[in-house]
Amino acid sequence: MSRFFAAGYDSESGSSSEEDLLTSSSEEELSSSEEEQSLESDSEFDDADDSSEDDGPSALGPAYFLKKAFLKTDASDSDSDDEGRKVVKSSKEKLMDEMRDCIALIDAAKAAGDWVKIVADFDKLGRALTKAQQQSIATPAFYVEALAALDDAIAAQTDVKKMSASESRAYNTVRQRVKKQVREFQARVDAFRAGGDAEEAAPVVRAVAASSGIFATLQTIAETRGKKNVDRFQQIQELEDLAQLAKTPFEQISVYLMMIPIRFDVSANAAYMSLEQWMAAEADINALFDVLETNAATVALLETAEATDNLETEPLPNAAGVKEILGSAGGFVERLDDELARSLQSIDSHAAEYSDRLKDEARVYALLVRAQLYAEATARTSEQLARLVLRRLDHIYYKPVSLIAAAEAQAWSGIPEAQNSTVAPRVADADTLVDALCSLLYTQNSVFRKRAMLSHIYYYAKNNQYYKARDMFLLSHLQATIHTSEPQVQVLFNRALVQLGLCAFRAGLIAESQQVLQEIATSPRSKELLGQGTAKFSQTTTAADKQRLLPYHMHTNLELLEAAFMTGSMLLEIPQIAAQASDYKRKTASKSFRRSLEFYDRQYFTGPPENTRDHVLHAAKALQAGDWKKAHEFLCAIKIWNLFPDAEELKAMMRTKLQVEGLRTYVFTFRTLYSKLSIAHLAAVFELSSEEVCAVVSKMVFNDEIAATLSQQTDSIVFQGRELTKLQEMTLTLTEKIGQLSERNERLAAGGHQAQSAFQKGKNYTPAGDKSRRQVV
Amino acid sequence: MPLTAEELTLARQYDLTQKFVPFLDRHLDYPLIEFLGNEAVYDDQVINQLIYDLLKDTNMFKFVKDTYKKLNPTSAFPQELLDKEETFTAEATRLGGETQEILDVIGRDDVKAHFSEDKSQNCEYLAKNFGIDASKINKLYQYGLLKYNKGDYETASDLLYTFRLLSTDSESLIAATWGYLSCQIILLQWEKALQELQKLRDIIDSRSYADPATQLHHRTWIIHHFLFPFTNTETGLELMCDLFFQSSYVSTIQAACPWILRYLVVAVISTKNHKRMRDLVRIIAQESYEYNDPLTLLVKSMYIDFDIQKVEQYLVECQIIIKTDFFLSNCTSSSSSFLDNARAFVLEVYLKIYSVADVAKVARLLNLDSTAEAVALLKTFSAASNHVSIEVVGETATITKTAASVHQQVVEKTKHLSYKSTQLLNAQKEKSS
Repeated sequence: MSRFFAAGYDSESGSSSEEDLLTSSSEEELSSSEEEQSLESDSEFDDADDSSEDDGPSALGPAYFLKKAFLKTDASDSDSDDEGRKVVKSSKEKLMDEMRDCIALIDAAKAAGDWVKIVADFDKLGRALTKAQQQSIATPAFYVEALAALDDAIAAQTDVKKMSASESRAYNTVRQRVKKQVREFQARVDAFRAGGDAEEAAPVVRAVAASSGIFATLQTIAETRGKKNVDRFQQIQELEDLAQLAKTPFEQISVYLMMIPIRFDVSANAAYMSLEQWMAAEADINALFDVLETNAATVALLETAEATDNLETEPLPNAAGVKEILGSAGGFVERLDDELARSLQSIDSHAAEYSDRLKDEARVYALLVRAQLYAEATARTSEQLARLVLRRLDHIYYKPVSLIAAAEAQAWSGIPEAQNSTVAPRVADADTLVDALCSLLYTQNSVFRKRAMLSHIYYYAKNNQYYKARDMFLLSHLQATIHTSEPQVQVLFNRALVQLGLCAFRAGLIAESQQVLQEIATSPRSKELLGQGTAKFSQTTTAADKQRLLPYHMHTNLELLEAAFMTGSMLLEIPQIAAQASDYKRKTASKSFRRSLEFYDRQYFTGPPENTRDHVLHAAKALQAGDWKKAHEFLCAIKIWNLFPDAEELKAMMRTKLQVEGLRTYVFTFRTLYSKLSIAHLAAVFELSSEEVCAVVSKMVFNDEIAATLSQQTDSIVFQGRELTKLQEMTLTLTEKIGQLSERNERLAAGGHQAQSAFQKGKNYTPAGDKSRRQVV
Repeated sequence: MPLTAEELTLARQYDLTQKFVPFLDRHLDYPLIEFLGNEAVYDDQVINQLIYDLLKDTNMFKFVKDTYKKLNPTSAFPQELLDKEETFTAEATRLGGETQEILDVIGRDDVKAHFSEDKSQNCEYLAKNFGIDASKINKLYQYGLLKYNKGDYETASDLLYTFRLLSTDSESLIAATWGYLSCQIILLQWEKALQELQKLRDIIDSRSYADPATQLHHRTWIIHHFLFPFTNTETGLELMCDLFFQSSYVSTIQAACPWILRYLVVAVISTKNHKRMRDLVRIIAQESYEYNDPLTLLVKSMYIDFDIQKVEQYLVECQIIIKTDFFLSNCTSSSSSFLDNARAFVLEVYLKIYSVADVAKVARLLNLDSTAEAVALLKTFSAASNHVSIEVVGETATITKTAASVHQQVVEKTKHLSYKSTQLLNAQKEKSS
């Protein structure tokens, strides 16, 4: 989740308009005192984050309405303004002033020995400094100077004993805080004490005069960031020109670092970024990477680099001769990806526009690979790389192997032959790629691990490797803790689970599939659980909820889910219903299917099947009547099967299952009516070999499902004809239950806790689903 | 009797030696490979090469040289081998001298008289009076290891035994126990081997590992080592059932070494353990996607697929596997009784399903030579069973089953309840008191 989304645009603009009201009403008092103004800006900074509203409006005053408020030229404007009262300062200058004021106050208090006042002022100074650091402004020299002076004053204070209680408490507080600060800036304090100069220990190189024009423009644009009524398109135009002018890598990078965020800003309040701007941003990011890659030996763009004093200060080369610039190319790619997702969320998924837009995914994927390579080469923290790898995984985990191969080939085609990744080799096959990406993420913290694990499971399930996916699922033990995760991870969990169930279904493991799918397929909120829709009739659905929804191309088809689940239920339930008459042991496997079947039975008229559910129910009725061929026809008529890549195999699988289950149903249903059944006849009816029939019936005999034996002499099933009376049946059920009860008792007594947890484990699908629903709502 | 071509293919297909090698020491791998050679599963050339690769890093120079000569009759020995032998001899003499001192001291009667149960006290005594400290005691271990690598297992076993009496360092004690265990296995001291394994098992089960994978790995080793004594002692197969069906070992087998199921099948069938058979069927059903061999397939075809036709074939294949498997061929208690017991299991399933059977088919199914044998078998079965009676008329056998009445079933199912409840109550009382 991008922090851009987390912030929520609406609330921010709302609060800033409130500020406008507030500042214009108290405008008169503000203009007079410098100190109060700094206080005011203080409160403003507390409200907003780094891209906060500046204090522009308050400085503009009444002229706010008069001017065409494009602030680029405001410096000269205020000069020509004859009143000369409104001095417009950059936020940096204001902060510096604020700090200077604090220091002046501290000096005064120091002279008076008023430690209580010093505590308060030093606190304020500290806050201003933090703010400066947040805005990537380097710690000014005068701060270090003041710090050293204060440290000296503390050391000089001798008559501690004479102070009043509150005085000495304040003194001690200051002493501790100053000590801490001194430790933080030890090198510079030492340098100041030694040479009397607190300029940064390393001297800075000024950019050459020729390029100062570029930086002046950048500076003015930087100052308008986040402000309203600024013509951003014009700014972009200027920056585009500057990009042409920029000569040195540092200049080029600086321009791109300014331009790309503005492109994103333009559409911050729109539903999604315009295609044109998106494309331009994509081109810019690529250009940025071009610059970075060609100059890799001399410059590096790092999230962990030191901030410089101002825009035009070029950082000094480090030991390896590389100038480290603060910024994040990977962050831009992530943002670009977010914007694509946002537009896909808003475009009608059935329109042609959607598929057009979807094609751009390949571009983002290529950029992600590029960014990953860059991060591999430069990033200091593995977390930064992991973020990009996770993004990359997000783009492929839900795809079949062939699509992944295509995306890979395309992404690498734009990257020079010589470059290769240490994480996953160039154009690896899909299995290797996903394994490699995931194993990198497994070394990260638990959020990365969980998502990687689930994506990994999803991938294998999607690509028909059921046992691998299932074993990973069981080994992950995620079902026990998934309800504590954030909603997206829970959604991913549910998605992986559904894929696992569908995979089991394709593999013909009906019982497994049915068990896995049950929870989500029977939930009335399956859409929500899979992150494909918000709750209907819910008042609490927020914009954030909507933003969490998956774009259409990632959806799991719910109709397919229903078809697989219903078919599985049918194959399990129909023989069981037929066996029920005397089978006292079994429970129903799927209550919901039974309910639908009962409902269907109650209807007086039934028309031909229309939807998936109808088809399965019709098939179930046919199967009950022993007509497995007709049942197969009904099932094959369900069109949605074609969404599976190997629909023909699936139909063949269903055919075999129907033959066997049909045979079982037939034997169960007619066991009381016949005394003998010819195996050859059964084989002919169900189109099975007589060995297969034998095997199926043997199993039923061996498991005491039917009271019958086989005769080799006549090649037939001989029914024993001893059916139980109702009373006998119930007695047996009762003894069975008593047995279970005593067994459970014993287990509890033996290892109480273990038995308990084992019991809960079996039920774990429920809470996971339930909780996720609750949180998504 | 040499194997036929088909049998050879089968034996090679299901040969587990490769799976075993990572879980056993080189010296223990050797008998497995040698066995393959003796049974002529592979060519001599291949076997010799394997043996050479296996042992060239040990100190059994004479043996390695012999093998090398067999492989390359013409060329001289590699220089590194000769170098190694030289350094080894020097090292052996040095360590031998050093340890002899210690052994002499310990062997003295007056010293022996001073020894007590408390190890640390013994150490102190030795250190104070004879200057034998922990580092010197460690020499025993080093020399033991060297001797073991030389193939002098008896000396190694004695040295390690002495070391274990004296040392107090728990890690090297465990290492020494593993070494001692290997020596016992090679020296065919099964009782001692079992004791040592039991010790190691207790250590591994009771220790808490930070990383569950380590414990799993250790258990896998334990399981593989246990096969030696289990398949060589009288009651071994029963012990195997008891141990390997413990839940922690079942999960180890399922997770790390499903091929052990082969030995479990033999153990369960040979000991006629019906209760365990149910568990085994469940495990085999779960694992059939990743491990199959004729033995597990036999169980699968009997209890899961009810594919009676296949049983016949698997019974034949099982015999070949048993003959060419190092452990199973050794297993005195299994090879003869396995087939009979397997037949009994098959017959039981068969008779439960069929009421009228063709004797000739039964004979073929059970892989018997004549129908007379089948008739005899059916008669024994009938005599042994309470509720099944079999009548053989000509070529057909009629099986009559007297099913327990509902009344009886209820009595059967409930009679143990009161006993169980009392037991439970007693257990609780004991706990709370």
